[in-house]
Amino acid sequence: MERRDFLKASALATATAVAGRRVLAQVPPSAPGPQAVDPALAARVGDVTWGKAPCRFCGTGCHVQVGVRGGRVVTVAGDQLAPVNRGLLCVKGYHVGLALYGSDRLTRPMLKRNGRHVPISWEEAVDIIARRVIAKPRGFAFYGSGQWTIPEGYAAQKFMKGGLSNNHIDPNARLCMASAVTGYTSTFGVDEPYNCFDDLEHTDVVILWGNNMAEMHPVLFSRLMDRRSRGERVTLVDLTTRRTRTSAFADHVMVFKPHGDLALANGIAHLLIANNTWDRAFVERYVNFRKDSERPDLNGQAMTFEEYRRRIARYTPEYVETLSGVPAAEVRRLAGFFADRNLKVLSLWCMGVNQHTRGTAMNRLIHAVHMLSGHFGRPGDGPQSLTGQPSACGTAREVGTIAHLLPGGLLVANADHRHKAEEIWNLPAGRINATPGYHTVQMWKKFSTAAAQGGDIDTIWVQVTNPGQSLPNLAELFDPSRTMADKFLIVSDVYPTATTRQADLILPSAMWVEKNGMTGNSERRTQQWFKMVDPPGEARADVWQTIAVARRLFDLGHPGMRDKDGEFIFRFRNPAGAAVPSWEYPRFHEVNVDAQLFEEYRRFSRFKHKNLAPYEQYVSHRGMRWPVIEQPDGSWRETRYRFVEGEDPNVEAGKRIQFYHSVTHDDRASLWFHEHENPPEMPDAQYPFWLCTGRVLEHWHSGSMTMRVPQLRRAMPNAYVEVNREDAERLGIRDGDTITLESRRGRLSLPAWIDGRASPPPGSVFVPWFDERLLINQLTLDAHDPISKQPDYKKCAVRIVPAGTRR
Amino acid sequence: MPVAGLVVTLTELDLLRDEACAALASDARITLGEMQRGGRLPVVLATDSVLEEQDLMNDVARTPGVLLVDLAFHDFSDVGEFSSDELPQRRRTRE
Repeated sequence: MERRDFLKASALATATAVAGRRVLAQVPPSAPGPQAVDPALAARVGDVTWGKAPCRFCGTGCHVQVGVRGGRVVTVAGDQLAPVNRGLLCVKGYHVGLALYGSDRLTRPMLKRNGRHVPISWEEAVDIIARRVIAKPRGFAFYGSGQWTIPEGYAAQKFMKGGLSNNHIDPNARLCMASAVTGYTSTFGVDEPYNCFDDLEHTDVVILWGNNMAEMHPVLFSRLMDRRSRGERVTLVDLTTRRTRTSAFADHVMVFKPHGDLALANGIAHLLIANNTWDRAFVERYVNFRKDSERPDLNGQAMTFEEYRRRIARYTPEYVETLSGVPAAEVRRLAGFFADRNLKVLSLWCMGVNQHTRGTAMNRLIHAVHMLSGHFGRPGDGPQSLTGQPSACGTAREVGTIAHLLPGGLLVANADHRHKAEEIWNLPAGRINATPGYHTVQMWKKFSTAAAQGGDIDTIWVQVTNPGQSLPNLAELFDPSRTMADKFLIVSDVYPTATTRQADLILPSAMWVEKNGMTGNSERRTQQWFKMVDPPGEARADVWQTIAVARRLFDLGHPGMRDKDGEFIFRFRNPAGAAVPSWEYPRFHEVNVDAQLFEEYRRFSRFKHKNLAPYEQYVSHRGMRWPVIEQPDGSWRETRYRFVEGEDPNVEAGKRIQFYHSVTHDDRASLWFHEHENPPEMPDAQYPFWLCTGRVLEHWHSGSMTMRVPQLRRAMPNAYVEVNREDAERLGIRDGDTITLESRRGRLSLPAWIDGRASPPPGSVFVPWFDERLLINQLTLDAHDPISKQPDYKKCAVRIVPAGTRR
Repeated sequence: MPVAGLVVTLTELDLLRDEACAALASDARITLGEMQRGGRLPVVLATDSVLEEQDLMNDVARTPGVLLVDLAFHDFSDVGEFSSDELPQRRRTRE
C-alpha cells in the first residue's frame, strides 16, 4: 500500500472510531492510568513515535496524540482516551502541530542596539538581565501568563517572591479571569470551580452568560450538541450582547444591553423570592447573605435575608427590562428554569462576565442565583466559569503567579502563610515581602511613567504573553515606556510579536512539546507531557531561562538567591542523588527539572485542600482533577465535585454540602447582593456606539501562533469591524468599506463587515483583537473592576467615521 | 500532501442528510466512511497542500445539512516548513 493510501485508511479508521463508539457519550477509562500512547492509534500509524500532550491553546485541556518522525511533529490526532475531548479536536487543536513550524521562529537572543535587534549569546543575555535586576531589585517586575506551564510559573514565583523578596509578578490572566478568582474566593472562601465538565452530560438547561461557547470552547460545545444528536433534550439559553454562532444553536437568545447582566441576575433572584420558588432549605442550611462594604472589597459585610429580600424587590421583570433591554416575559422564562427544581441547570461563563468593571459582582451573582434556587451540588446543576488559557487555573491561580499570592492559594499578606512558604523553600524568616506587588495595569502604568513622576518599575521581563497587543489602552500603558531611555523590556517568546518588536532584549523560547510541561485546565485537571522534539536554533525552555538568571544572580552575590543554608534556591539531583547544575544548558536535560519543581510545589497544595498527586501519576493519566487523594491501596483518587459529600473526601459525613473554606468559618457560602450600575463609559452624542472586543474561532488570543498556520490565517486573515445592517445603511457603509473607529483614547481604520460572522444589535460594533496590524486596544478603556483589577474590554464608547474606501 | 480525518455531524432531516452525503461524495478528494449513530459521518480529506485542505474543509462546513465539523486526525508529514508571510510592522494609529 502506498503511504498516502495508508494514511487515508488510518485517518478514516481514526475518525470512524471517534464517531462510531458514541465517543461523546462514553467516558474513556481513566483509572488505572491509561498508557501514554493510544495503542489502537499506534497500531494504525506505527511509523511514527507517539506521545500524549494537552493542546497548547485554550483552557479546555483537550489531549492530543502527537506523532513524531525525524525529529519533527508530523501528525496529531484527538486522544480517544482523554476524558475531556474524547478523540475530538477543534480547528486550532487540529493545527497545533503546524504552529511549531512557522518560518520566522525566534532562534537567537537579540539585543536592541542603535535601534536594531542584533544577535548576542545566551551568556550575555543572561548577564544583562541579572545586572539589571541586581542594580535595582525593587524596580524589576515579571509578567507572565496562563500559558506558563506549572513548573515555569512556579520557578518564576519562587525566583521573585522567595529569591528577590519582590512581589511584582502578575500574569496576563489578570486580564481574563481575575474576576472569576475574586468571585469564587469571596463566595466559597477558596478559588476555582467546585464542579467539572462531566456536568455537560448531565444537565438539562445550559445558561451561557455572555459566552460564545461554539467558537471559544468548541469541543465542549460539541459534547453538548452530541447529546442533542442522540435525541436528548438539552435547552440552550444564550444571554448575549450580540448574536453569535452559539446563538444559532440556542433555544432562547436574550440580547441584553452592555452591563445588563447584573439586572438579569437580580431579576432571577427577585422572581425566585416573589414567587416563593427559592430553596429555603438550601439557603437556611448553607448560605449567609452578604453585601458590599462602603468601599468594595473581597470581604464585604453581612446582611440579613430580610434586607436581601427588601433590596432585591425592586428588580421586577419590568424594571429589569428597562435596565437590560430583555423583555419582561423573557426574564420570567429565564427565572422559570431556576424555579424548577426538577431541572438541572448549568451556568457557564468566561470573558463576557470577567472582563467587566463589575466582574466580581457578576461572578458572585451567578453563584447567588444557583444557591438561592438550590441548583447546586448535583451533577449538571451548578455554576462553572471557563478559562481561556491552557494553565490559567494550573499556573496563575494554583501556583499563584499573581501579585498577592503564594503557591497553593496562600497570601503574601498573611504572616502564617509566608512562614509556611519560607519553610518549604528553606528561606530565612522574613525573606518574603508582606506587601502585595503591582497588579497588571499598575505594573505597566508604572513602567510607562517616568521615574521622576513615580514610575518605579524600570525593567519588566515578559514570558509567554504579548502585552504590546493585549493590554488595554496601549497608548497609556505600553507605548510611553518605549521612548524612555531608562525603561528596559525583556521578552521571551517563540515568534516575533507586537511586544518583541518593541523589546530591548528578546529571548527565543521553546514551545509546547519542545519542552516538558504541565498545565491545569478549567475543571481542576492537572496534565503532563514530555519533550518530544528539539526547539529550533538556540531557543530554550522558559524555566531554564529563569533558573539561569537566578544562578547568575547567585554568582554575582545576590543574597536572595541563597537559602538559609547558603545554598542556591534551585537545586536538582539525578537519580543517584548527585547535584546537577541544570542552569548550565548542556546539562539541563540530564534531570527532569519539571518533576523536581513539581514535587516541591505540590507540598503547597494541601494547605487549601487542592492536593496534587505525585508527578508520576500525571505521566500515566490524561490529567487528574484535584484534590487527588491517596487511597488505602496506594492508588490516587481524583475529585469531580468539591464540597459535596460522597465526592469530596474533605466533606464530613452527614453534611451533604460543606463549604469548608467558608469566609465566615461556619461551613456556609456567601450569597451576595449587588445593585445594577451603569458602566464607567457609555455611548453619548459624541461617541454614540458601544465597542465590544473579543476572539474568533480561528485565532487564539493575539494570533502570534495561529497567524503562522496558513490554514487559519487564510480562513481569518485580518481583523474587521462588525457593523449592524441598519446602522450601516443609515451611515452609508457598504460591506468591505474601510471605516474608522474613534474613542477618547485612539482611532483605528479597518474593513467593515455588515452583520459579520455575528450580528451586533443597532448602536454597537464588534472588533476581534487577534490582528497585531490592527490594534483595537488603542481604543479600549483601562477602567477595571475595583476588586479583581480586571479591565473591561467589552464596552467603551466609539464613533464611526466612514472613509468610503473599499477593500 | 496532508491527510485529515474529520467527524461531520449531519442534520436529522433525512432528505437534507442524503443530499449532504451526495454533495460530499461528489468531490474526489473526499472519502466518506460509514454513517454512525447520531448522524456522525467519518470523512477523510486528501489534498495536495495545506491551503487546499483548508478550502476544502471550509466547503465541507458550508455544505447544506452539515451542522458541525470536528477533527480527529491530521497528518502533515510530507509538508515542509511553510512560509508565513512577514507581518507588517506595527502601525501607529493614534493621533
